[in-house]
Amino acid sequence: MGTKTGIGTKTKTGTETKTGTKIGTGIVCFPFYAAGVSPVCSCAVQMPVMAVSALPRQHKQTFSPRSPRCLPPSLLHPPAAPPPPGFRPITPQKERGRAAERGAGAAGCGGSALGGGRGSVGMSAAGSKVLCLKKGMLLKQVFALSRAATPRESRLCAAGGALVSCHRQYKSRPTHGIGKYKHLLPKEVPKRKKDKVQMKEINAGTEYEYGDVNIQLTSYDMCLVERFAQYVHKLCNQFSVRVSESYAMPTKTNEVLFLEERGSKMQLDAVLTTHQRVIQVSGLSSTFAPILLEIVQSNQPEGVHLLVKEHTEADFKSRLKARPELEELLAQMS
Amino acid sequence: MAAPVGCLAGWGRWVGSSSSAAVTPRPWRLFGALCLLRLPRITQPLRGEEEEMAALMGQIELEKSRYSDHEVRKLEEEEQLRRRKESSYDDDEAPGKTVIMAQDLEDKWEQKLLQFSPAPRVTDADKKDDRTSLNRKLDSNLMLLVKQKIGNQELWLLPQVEWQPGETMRNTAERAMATFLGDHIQAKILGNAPYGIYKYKFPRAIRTEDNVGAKVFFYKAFLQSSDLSQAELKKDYLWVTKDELGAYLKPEYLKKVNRFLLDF
Repeated sequence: MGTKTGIGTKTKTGTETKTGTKIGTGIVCFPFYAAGVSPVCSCAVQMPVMAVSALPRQHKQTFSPRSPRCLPPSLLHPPAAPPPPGFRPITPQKERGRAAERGAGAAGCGGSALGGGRGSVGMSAAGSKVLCLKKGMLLKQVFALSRAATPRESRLCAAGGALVSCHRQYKSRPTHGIGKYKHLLPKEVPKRKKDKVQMKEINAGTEYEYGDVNIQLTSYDMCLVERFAQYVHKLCNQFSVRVSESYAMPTKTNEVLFLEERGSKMQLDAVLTTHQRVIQVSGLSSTFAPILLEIVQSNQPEGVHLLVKEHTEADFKSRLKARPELEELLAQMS
Repeated sequence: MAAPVGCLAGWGRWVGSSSSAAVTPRPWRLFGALCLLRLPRITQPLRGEEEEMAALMGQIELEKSRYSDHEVRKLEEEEQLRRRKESSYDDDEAPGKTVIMAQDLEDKWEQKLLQFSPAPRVTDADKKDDRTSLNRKLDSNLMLLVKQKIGNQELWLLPQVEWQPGETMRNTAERAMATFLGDHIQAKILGNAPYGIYKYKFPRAIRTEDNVGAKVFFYKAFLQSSDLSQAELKKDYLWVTKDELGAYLKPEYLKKVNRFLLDF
């Protein structure tokens, strides 16, 4: 009991299932709840407190009880209703920073609420937590507030589930920063806007492979070309041909102007939009390429143009926007 | 471009074509054959279930869709007309201003549609079953068969020509096409690797130590333009679909050829 086990570690029980670990940690970390021991107990409970306060803030994943010595005398004897087995620590959204008066006031009603068998409402409505604030060592006993406790809570917490961040974390609260993980991940170098341009593979050896090949599908009908692009993509997946990119080129709009027979004015006849989808495939072997091309060609729907070509820098550049001011300045400089 | 030796690396007797100074005579004679395909010009008609499904999906989409700009405009104009008829004449709309109504546009488009007549799916050649013309069976692949003399028999085959040392197999296939159809045919062979192989042994009468049999390598080419105004060198040629091949090719040959023909 002296050692704290994190949630991730396995307990030394026979069963090593996940549920086993959770229950195991629960048993270890919340001894006096499961055993129904009153909070006024021996120093054996103090160990977790010391451990927690000594731990750096990152390891706040496990909930641990605080020392019962900090409890105000009125709350030393909480109602003896045991929490339901599905207990979980209250998320920060449910606790209140300045809940002292409410804690004391709600102690009576919360206790009665608990005693009234509200355990059927689910995990969020039950359970209790004993906290120890670092500043001034004031301990407040905060009960899980049910929806009908006070109008203020219900307004704030009724906005959504547990993930609605109704209020911010207070630095004085010991669980400040609980759930942070970004600092644990390795630092990412911020990507430069311009990606690497070429990924050209060299045909080598007896087994020939193409580099990046673009399959360009063009049509006036957007739904058709998108469906065909999806079909080609899935076909490549089925044949284990690596699809490195699948993107759409910007839509081009053409206006068809109709010149009347006895007239000089051009009338707008139709507006045609040309859609293009590109699927970039790499690592196509030269023995399989003709077969794939033939299948794609045979399955072409009406109205879709198919163009298969190798990827070049010009193709890459055509996806980027031209910057006329930059080019102007460069031209002026040189 | 290197030889398509990579795919044939399994063949023990096959040496790279660059070494033309091979002295050992080959017991197998090699041929390159070309399967020239005319791709379908129209899509195949939908089958019963496909038609029903298409109709159902169209209905669902129509019921789920919103009005387009044109339809909104048409509804508004109908509404205006109705109001004008019911109430007294509205002189706000100047009668001198000729506004093209959406209904007029629709009528104009309808007229244009009536003037357009699509070409028939079943052509004359289909009706006459003229197998030498390219205009039949517009929704399926057509391939070229020629009558060639092999040994002392006249057989219907895919055009084939014997391989010469020093050229790639693909060149042999292209040469076969040029031999039978002239030089100006625009057909595209997609890759350097053959699509199939047919191997047969000569009959015992002709078979010798050095001349056991022949291997035929098939290549596929797609016709780019469908006008063959060039004179055909061989008079006996046919354009047939995959189903009709059975009537012309020998069974073993047909089995090997069917392996690389796509079914549609």
